[in-house]
Amino acid sequence: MFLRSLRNLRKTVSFHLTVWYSGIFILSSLFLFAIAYLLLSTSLSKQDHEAIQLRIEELSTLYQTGGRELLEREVTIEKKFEKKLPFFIRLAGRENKTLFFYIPYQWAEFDIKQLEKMTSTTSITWTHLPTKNNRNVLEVASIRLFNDSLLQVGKSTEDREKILRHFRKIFTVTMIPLILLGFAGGAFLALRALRPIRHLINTVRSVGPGRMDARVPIPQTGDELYELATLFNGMLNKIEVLINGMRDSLDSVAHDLRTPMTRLRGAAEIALQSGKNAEECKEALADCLEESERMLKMLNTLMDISEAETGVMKLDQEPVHISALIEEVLDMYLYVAEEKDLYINITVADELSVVADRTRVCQALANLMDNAIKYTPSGGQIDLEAHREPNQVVINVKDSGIGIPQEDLPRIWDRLYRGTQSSSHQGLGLGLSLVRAIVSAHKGRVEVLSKPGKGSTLSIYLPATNKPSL
Amino acid sequence: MRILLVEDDLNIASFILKGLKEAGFAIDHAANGEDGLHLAINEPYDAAIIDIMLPKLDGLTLIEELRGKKINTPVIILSAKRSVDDRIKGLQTGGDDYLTKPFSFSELLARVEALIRRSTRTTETTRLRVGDLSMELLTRKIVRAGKKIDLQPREFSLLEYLMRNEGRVVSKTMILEHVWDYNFDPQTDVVDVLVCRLRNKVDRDFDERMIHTIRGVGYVLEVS
Repeated sequence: MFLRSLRNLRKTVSFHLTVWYSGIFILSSLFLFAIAYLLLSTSLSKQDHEAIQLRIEELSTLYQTGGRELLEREVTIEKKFEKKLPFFIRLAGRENKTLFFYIPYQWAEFDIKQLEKMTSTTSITWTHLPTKNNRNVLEVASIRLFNDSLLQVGKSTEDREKILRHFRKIFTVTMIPLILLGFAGGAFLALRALRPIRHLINTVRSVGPGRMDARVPIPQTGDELYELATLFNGMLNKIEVLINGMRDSLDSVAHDLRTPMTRLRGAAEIALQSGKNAEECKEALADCLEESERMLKMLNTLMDISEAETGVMKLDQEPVHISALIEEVLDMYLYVAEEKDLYINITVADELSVVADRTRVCQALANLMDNAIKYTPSGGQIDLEAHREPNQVVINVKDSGIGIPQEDLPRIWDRLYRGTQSSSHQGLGLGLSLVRAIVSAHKGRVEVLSKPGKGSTLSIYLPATNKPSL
Repeated sequence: MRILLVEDDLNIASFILKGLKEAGFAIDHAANGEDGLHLAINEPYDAAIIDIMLPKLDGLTLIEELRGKKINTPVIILSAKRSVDDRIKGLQTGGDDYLTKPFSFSELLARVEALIRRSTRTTETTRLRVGDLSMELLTRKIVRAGKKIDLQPREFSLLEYLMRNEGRVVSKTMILEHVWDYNFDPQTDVVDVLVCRLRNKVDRDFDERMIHTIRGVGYVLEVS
């Protein structure tokens, strides 16, 4: 359990951020310390070298003027006053035999014999002699004097080491709180930076079944998180519309299919009753077929409506000439109108076009035409008129039919609405709602005007293209 | 004529099998895409009926593989998807015709026959003849029992379509597609109206009726 939550923690962005932040923080402090240490140790050793060099030159001048006695006196004085920066001094004869040497008592022991083995030149040569316990080094400079004797001056690294050791101790002591500080800072930053994201996560988590109304609080910062939250809310809105639309259409499909299904069932049941002859059975089967055909048509139309309403209908937008479109629709309904002895009058402004899905708009227009033909009595007239307004193209379909009562006007676009006077007409009652859905999907709108007894005008408004003609 | 049916729904398959056998076709059935592909590659068929949603290998991929192997058996795609997009996709993949479920068997039969006729490419005639009815395609002259009949353009194309499919039932959808090139159902039955007008001109003044309505299925032109 603990291990699993640890593993989960390791996957979180906050954990990664914390690790990266503290890692970088710690590494850069380490780097700074290392540089400081390096600089300190090199400058200390340089200082020592310079001191040794100065001393050896000093002593060799002494030897040159006063010989060995002067040198010994100087060393004795040095021993007596115990200078703060003592030196190792050795004078050797021709065969590199030690004539005299001095080593400050506080230093660890060196194997001096090793110095007797070496040879030297007139210029200064450097030798490093480890202590017997191997902890420090004696840095020795040797120079051959004028009478071939050898002068060696040296210094133990012990003093230097003491300072560096102190430095390291300070480093270790400060590093532990530094690491802790790094982790704490990293965690703080990570948590702070990710707080809005955690808000988002919690909201998303709460958007479950039946809670489609939850929204992410939008920070008024204008940064990336603001953008993310806005986008996310936009997406939630869209999903809500979709889900509600689907739910509604599912409800209405279920509801609308019940009636034809009952008829289907009835027809089949009657055919199955005893005492029916083959002819009657055949008739009933044909009824079933017709009914199922109608159900299929209804289902298709309902699917189209909900697709258009929820915005998932794919529209192949292209420039469409209105006059060509009207001609196409007329071509289909001409015979139907002729049969009913209707006069169709067309007035379309020149060069009128919109950018739209040709098939869909044609379908919408066909449904309007269908509606007009259905509700205009024989010998009546239908006016098809289209013109351009500043930002939109208007297509009016005016019939000279029975009209629609004022109180019914807003409901004619609803699914399965059929006016009280129209119950005698065949149809699914879905035509106009498909018109509205298609027009809305094109970001347009529908309108209706009606005078009972004189006729109605149904209009669709489609957004116009920028260019007046295409 | 030998036909391949690739369909995983056994109920649908059995009614197609039964119907096509009765119509005089030899027919093989595969219940999944892989078997279907195997059969289509190794056997010579005059046409294939392929469902899109298939186990193991979907219909579109099957057709693609067939066309990739230069096998040009005409294919009718069966699909439960209705949108224009799916239809276009199916036809682009290499299908020759597209039928949406649920469909009527007569429509399937008519489409299969039309496909086979198209692929065997019988020489283009300039004159159609059914019983005492004849149609000159070039001069657009129609004569029945010596009497000239005048038709308007849509009536003419409907009659031509019915005559070319003599004895076969054509559905309303097929008429909409052929006469108006429409892919959606108009609310009012415009096909009904057109058929009614055609009947008035072709059948009314004669003793024998040639255009028959098959309820729930479509129309057929034939002489009894």
